[in-house]
Amino acid sequence: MTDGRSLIRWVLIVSVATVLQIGLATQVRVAGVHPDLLLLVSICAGLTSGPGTGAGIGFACGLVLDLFLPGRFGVTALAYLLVGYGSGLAGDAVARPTRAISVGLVAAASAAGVLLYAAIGQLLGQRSLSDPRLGAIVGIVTAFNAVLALPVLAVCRWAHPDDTRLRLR
Amino acid sequence: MRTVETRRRSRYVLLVLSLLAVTLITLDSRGVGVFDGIRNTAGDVFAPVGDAFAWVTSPISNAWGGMSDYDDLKAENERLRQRVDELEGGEAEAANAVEQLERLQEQLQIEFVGDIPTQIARIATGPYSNFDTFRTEIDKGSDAGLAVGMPVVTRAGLVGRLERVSRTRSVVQLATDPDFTIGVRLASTQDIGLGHGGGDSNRFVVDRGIDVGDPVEPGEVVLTSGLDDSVMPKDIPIGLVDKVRPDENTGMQLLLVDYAVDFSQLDVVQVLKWTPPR
Repeated sequence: MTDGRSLIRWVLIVSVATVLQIGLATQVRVAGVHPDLLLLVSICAGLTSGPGTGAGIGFACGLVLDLFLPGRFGVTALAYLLVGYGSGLAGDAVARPTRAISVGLVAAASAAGVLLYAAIGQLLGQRSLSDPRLGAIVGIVTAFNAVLALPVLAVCRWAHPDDTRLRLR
Repeated sequence: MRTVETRRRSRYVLLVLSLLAVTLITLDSRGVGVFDGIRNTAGDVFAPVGDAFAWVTSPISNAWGGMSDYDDLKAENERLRQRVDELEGGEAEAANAVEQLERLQEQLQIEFVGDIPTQIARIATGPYSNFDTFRTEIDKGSDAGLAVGMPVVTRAGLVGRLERVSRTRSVVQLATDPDFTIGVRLASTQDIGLGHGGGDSNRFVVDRGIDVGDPVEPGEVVLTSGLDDSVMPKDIPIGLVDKVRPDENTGMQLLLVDYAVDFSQLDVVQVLKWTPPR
C-alpha cells in the first residue's frame, strides 16, 4: 500500500532521478552508452515494494523519459512498467535475499529492460533491436545499474519503509 | 507475505497502466499534436538544468571522457599539439578564445549558403537515448526564428535538418540517420540521384538514380540536388564518393560517400532559415 508520505517520497525520487539522468548521466558515456537511472529506479521500486508499486513507478519513470526521447510517446512507459512489475514478482520469489542476489536481480532486470524497450521500439518502426550496438548497450547499462544497485535499493526502501522488512536488502 | 488481495490489485494496476501506455502510443502514432507540445515544453524546462549540470560537471565529464575515449583523445591530443605549435605558446585562455572566434567566423563565410538568412547555434547535448545516435540538440529554437525542416550545415557541408523545435532548443536529425533521405547531384556530371544516411557505417549511401553507364569516379563531389519539392536547398556539399559499386540487377550504381562533415567534432553549426516548399 502506498500512503501519502510514501507517494511524496516516490515523487521526490523520480524527480531527482530525472534531473540526474538528463543533466548528468547522459554525459557519462562508455563507448557512447550512458547509464539509465530511471530504469534502475523502476527495477528497484519493484524489488523493494512489490509488483504493483514497481509497475506504477516504472510507468512514471518511462513517461518522464518519453518526454525527451525520439520515437513514439509511451514506448518507454510501457517497457519500464513491465520491467517494474516483473522485478516485483522476482523480488517476491526470493526467500532469503542477500546483497549479491539483489545486485544480480538488478543486473538481470536491467538487461531484460533494455531488450524489452528495444523489442517494443522495433515493433513500432525504430531500429533498436537490430541496432549493431545492442550487445554493448545491454552490457554497459547492466554494468552501470549493477554498480549503482545497492544505494538505489536503499533509497527505494526509504520511500516504502513499511513493506520492506521481508524484502531485498 | 503478500496477500491474494494485494496480488490481485497489482495485476489490476499492471492492466490499467499497460492499456494507458498503449493508448498513448496509439494517439502519438496517429499524429495527435499535444505530445509534441508537451515534449517541447519539457525540453525548454530542462534546458537550464542540462546547461547547469554541463557547466558544473564539465571537469568531471572531461576527466571521464579522457578515460573512456582514450583513442579519440590521442587523436585530439595530436591535433592540439599542432595547434599549440602554431600559436607558439600563447596562453591557454587566449588560445581557447581564438579557437571559439575562428569557429564562429568560419560559420559566417559559407559560400554555398548564398543569400539564405542563417542562425548560428551550438550543440547543446547529445542524444538522450542509447538507441538513437542520429540526433543531437542545438541551443536555439523558435525564439530565434527556427522551424521544423530547416537545414543545418557547417562550413564543411550538410549536418542534417531540424526535426523538432521548441522555444529555446531544437533537435537535429543528422544526415547519418538511415531515415534521412534526400535528392543528390553529382557535381561534375550533374547526374541526379537519391540517397540516405548510412547509419553506423558512417557513409552516406546513394542507391537510386545513378545508372550503371554513368561515369562516376571516387572523389566525385556529392551535393544536394535542390530540385522542386526537395527538402534541401541546392548545392550543399554532402561529401566525396569513396566507392562505386555497380548493381547489374537494378541497372544502378551504389555510391558510398564519405561525409564532408566530421560528426564527432560538431560544435558550432549554422541553421539555414529555409523551409521546404509545401
